[in-house]
Amino acid sequence: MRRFLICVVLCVVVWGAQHDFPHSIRPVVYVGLMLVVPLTLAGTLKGSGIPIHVVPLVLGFLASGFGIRNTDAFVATSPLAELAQVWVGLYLGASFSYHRFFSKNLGVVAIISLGATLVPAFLALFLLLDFPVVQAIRLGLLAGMSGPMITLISQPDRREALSFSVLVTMLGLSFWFLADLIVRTPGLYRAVPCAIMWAVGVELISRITHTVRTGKGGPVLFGAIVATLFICARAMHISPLFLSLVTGAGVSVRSGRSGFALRGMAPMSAPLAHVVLTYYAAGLDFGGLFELSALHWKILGIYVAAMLLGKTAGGLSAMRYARFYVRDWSQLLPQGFFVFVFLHEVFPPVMEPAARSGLTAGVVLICGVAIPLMTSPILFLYERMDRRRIQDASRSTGSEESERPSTGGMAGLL
Amino acid sequence: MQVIASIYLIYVICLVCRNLFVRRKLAAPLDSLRASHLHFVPIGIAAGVVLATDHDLAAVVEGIQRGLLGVILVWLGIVTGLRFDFRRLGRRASRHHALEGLQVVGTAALVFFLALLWRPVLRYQMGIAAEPALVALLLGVLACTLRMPDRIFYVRSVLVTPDIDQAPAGPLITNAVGMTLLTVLYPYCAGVTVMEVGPFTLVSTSSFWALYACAGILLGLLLTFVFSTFQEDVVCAIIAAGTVATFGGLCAGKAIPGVIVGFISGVWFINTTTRRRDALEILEKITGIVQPVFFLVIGGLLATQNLTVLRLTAFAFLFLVARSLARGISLTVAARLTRCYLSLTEIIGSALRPLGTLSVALAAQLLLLDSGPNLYALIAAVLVAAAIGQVLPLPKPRDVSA
Repeated sequence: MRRFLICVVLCVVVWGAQHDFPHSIRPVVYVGLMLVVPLTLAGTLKGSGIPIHVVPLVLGFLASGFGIRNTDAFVATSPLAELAQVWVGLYLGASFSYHRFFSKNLGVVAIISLGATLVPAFLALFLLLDFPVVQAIRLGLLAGMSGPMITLISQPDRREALSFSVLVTMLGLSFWFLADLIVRTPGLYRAVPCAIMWAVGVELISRITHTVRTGKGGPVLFGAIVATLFICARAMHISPLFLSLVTGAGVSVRSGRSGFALRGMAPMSAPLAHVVLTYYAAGLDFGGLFELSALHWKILGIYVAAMLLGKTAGGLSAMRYARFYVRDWSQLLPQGFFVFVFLHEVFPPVMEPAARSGLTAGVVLICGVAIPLMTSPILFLYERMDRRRIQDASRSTGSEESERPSTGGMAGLL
Repeated sequence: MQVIASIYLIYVICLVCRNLFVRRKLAAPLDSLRASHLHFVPIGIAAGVVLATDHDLAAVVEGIQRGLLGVILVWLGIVTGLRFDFRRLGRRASRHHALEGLQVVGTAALVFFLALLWRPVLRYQMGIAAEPALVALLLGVLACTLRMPDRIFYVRSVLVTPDIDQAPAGPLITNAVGMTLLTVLYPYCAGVTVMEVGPFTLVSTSSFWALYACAGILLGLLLTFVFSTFQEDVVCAIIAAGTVATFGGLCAGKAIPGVIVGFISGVWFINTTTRRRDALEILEKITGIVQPVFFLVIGGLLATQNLTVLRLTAFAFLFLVARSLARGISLTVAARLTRCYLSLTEIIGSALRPLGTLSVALAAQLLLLDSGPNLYALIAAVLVAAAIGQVLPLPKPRDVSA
């Protein structure tokens, strides 16, 4: 009740602020709302079994639909949202476990998962809908990516799931940018000095983080690295989240088992992930969803079907080769952030903007909200059945032991 | 991009300065300035001068600064309200409270009337054409406010934090009483006759009071809910900061004095929360970030103004002398009335206690309440007065061995 009261009061204030407030003040009010409401309401779903990441997405949809989102304030606060995503991306990259990567064949499983999504999506789009090759590959790669930010919110304690999700997404993004560079041949030559600079940067960051000894030093250093990465991403026209994700993972791998000081930023990163998801969900246009034609629904269907097929195949192989639990690999299924950012660029140029917005909103709604809501009870039932099976097995083993004849005397005690 | 690059540059400069200051053992006057975060003002001015070269960028930055100022003022109000904890007040003898309260009221009244007499000086020498009664009230209240936590140093000694719970003239409730005076008198002196808040039109003093009280209690209630609902410190800090940001925006947008709203909410919060100690720790951590940012913002706002340093300094000296006399006289009278014995050294020491962040915040509040010209001059004068007050040593009482 208290949580709802906090949210209602702030929403009323912001709704009132839309009309007669000075333009310079609106962003402050908007930032306040974005910080408070998702975090407050997410707490109510803890322990209910519903994935928590649904809250920021749904809140974003509501903010967009009920006119709480103000366009001026939304544009003015976009640098802050990008800074927040760099922060979260750096933490996610840093949480990537290099040790698990080598010891559990995670790389092979991630490639299987990505390939199993890419191939059917590419074939269906290229052969059935005459998509251009590059666009079909990009859409397939996007379908193969996961939502590490969503995993961070929903399952923050499952390190395996987070690592797997980060790895699959990083692989997908790397192939994405590689394909982009191959298509734009001059870009390939330009990428070499950038890659060298990136490697030098990773080395510098890993050396500096080793020198941090104090509790206050970690956040200060983290802030400085975040700002540097943000400026670099803006200057090089790269997605800030991609750069921070890859850099975090690079530093984590470089630091190896000796530990990485930035991992200590977990308490701040999960709340910021809520904020980022709400912010970008508020930017979606759901009006376009009602203007989609049959062709657009086909694209949406192929995307979702390929995603489910590929990720299930990847998950089953993860169970087989990397001994993953179902709850861990099922974290690959929801998609969120990268769909907001990249889906617009994937569609052929002839597609009208309203249809692009509608498709993006549709993908987020299905892959970010509907599928996690459907898989959640299935997972619950599966785990319950599994637990019961284990209990039955242990009970039968126990009864066999009790039926076993006692050896008697001191031998029995020993 | 330029904004972010500039913010980054400022961040790096702050880090370097902080390291330089923290690692070196400074002389007591400089240490006193460092403890008040006043060294961030020149950094803010430098950053403001650099940003002012591009007009479009300067306009964007000024908007951000004004928005931030609105939020910070509410926050500083809350911090002041947190010191008005009734349980803590009960630890000290009531006549000491009476002594302190009478000193504050006397100082505020004397400086208020002096400021009304200075009206020509303020208008024609300083160029401040805001509502005279409002300026006088703010000067009166900020004259009685002090730096909190109280840090003092005596001649040839280091900076110390005295035990204000026990000392008879210790500033335990000074700032809170000053803020209460401001809350009570503001609607009379503001010169605002009509205020539109959503569908409501407020036309009387009592309705203005009701508005400030409602906003303050609502914010305090929300903060209480936040700290009772969430257990994790980081989440509490983020949600509290977000709530204050929303209310800060509301106050700045509607020309409501955010310091007053914050003060009421702080008083409500500290006297109703069940997580008092945790909340104080978390809020103190955030205040450690808010205060430097406040002085950076003030520095950035002053950087683009055409101010006459000589006049500012002269006014700052005049104000300091008037304030010290008013504090000294009112303390002497209050000591006589409450029958507390105070030595001359104690009276002089109390009269010379320096201004603090709240004093500068009260001057800055005028910027969001009144649109008259050259209001920045008043802020700059108060800053200079605060800096001068903070580098002055106090006379050493006989029983102090430091």
